[in-house]
Amino acid sequence: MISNTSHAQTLRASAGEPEKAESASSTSPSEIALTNVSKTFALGKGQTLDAVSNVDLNIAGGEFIALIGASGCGKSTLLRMIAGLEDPSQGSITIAGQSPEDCIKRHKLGIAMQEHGLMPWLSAWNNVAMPFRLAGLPIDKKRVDELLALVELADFAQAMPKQLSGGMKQRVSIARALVLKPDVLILDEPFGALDAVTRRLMNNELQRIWSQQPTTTILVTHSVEEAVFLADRICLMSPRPGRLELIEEVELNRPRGLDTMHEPEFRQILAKLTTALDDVCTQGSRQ
Amino acid sequence: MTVAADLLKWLVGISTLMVFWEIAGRQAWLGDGLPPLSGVFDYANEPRSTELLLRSAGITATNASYGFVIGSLIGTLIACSGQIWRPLKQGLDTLSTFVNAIPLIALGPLMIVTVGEQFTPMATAALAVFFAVLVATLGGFERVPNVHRDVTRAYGTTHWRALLLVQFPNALPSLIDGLKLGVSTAVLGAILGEWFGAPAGLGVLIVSSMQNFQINLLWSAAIIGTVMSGAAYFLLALLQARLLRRLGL
Repeated sequence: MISNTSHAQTLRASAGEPEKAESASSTSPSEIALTNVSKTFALGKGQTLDAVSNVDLNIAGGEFIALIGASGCGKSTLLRMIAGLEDPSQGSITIAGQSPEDCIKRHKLGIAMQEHGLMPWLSAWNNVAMPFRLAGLPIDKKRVDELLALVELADFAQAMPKQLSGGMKQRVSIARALVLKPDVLILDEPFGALDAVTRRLMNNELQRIWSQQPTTTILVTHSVEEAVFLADRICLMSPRPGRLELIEEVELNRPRGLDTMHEPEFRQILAKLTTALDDVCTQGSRQ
Repeated sequence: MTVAADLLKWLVGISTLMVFWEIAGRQAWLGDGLPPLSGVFDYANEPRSTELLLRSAGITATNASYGFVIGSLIGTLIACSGQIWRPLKQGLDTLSTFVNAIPLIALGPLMIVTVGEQFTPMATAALAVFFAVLVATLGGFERVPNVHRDVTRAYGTTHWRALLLVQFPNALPSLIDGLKLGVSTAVLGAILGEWFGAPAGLGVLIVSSMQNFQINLLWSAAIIGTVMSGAAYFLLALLQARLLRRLGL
């Protein structure tokens, strides 16, 4: 039941988003192509686990993709392969025609996970500046200040992580992910550990940040609502081994705000995907 | 606050032990081998004994300090080198287990021959510290959170930068635990090294007092050695508490 829809480039060519329309062109340096990607883990004693199976997907430059699916369906594994943190057992992944490792070497990848991963011994400012140090680049102080301002934490620049709330830590983590102006932004359940209210606010925040700094983004989430709110396209994965079961375009205008969640189109896509997710999970549990 | 509470517990424990010791000594429960504590103190307070004990303690402290610094540095550097050069990492666990399995007492005579009587106490102290620090630091590197590893890899970081910026700060609490453990073993290692024929030190005093049945001198030397270990441990615990608070770990 794969309904692979046409490209999402046209979606974002709306007035008011000239930067994004430009970044989504076919010459974008951040176009991602997954060809027949599979991942099998060796469990020892000759046993193996098929985590991801035969995934084909093309992601346009500047596109926001959400991966949803049941727990353990391989969406995080797929994300880690795109990020170059795992190697596919089969198939290939290219980012602008090069391997994810090349993307890493060029420092063109930004990453934020469910665990914020801030260094507890560094202030918020120094955490945001960390990618410069890790990449061996001179620290662009203006850029760090700019990112802290973007995530509205300029007043907390010198605060230590333990002095920040969960939501603030995640905002620092997102600022850190964006500081090197990545071509690809990898988000693995970045708000998964937050309470429902903070999560909604953070989604709104991420949407705002993303609109200001359009970047090819791949988000893994358990929340269908979050996926519909943020993404241009949503990929629903089947239970293990993870395959692309459904690809849904989200034709909601941008910029989106908290009001967007009350629009009929939003509720409609949400209902459709929730039902599809339930179906997929039920089928998986019956197998 | 925790350090102060720990100190209080120590004091209560030591006071209780001292009271029992005094009673056991006075009642001669263990015969001549355990004189009353007050008798040991009286002996140590005599000017000649005090001078001898302090001079010996100073020598042992010097040996232990050099051994501690050398052993800690070598332990830390070898553990770090395993992070830079991955193939070495697998061998390090085996090496550390092997080194620990060698009885120090068996190495003593060998060291007398190789490094000489004067440096044997430092070498035995260093060897004892080396193991504690190596194992603790390797353990610290193992406990670097996965998310920190992912972030480090995602920016194409070199092994050196990863070590300095992420792994070493993460391993620091474990490393300090190793230093705390190592500082006591450094004193023991130095005393043991002095046993094998060093010119002076608490170890030498212990051997000669054993041979001459000078029980009060033997216990005085043993108590001073214990106090030195305890004080060094306490100082490191204090340093650890401050450092970790400062680093937010």
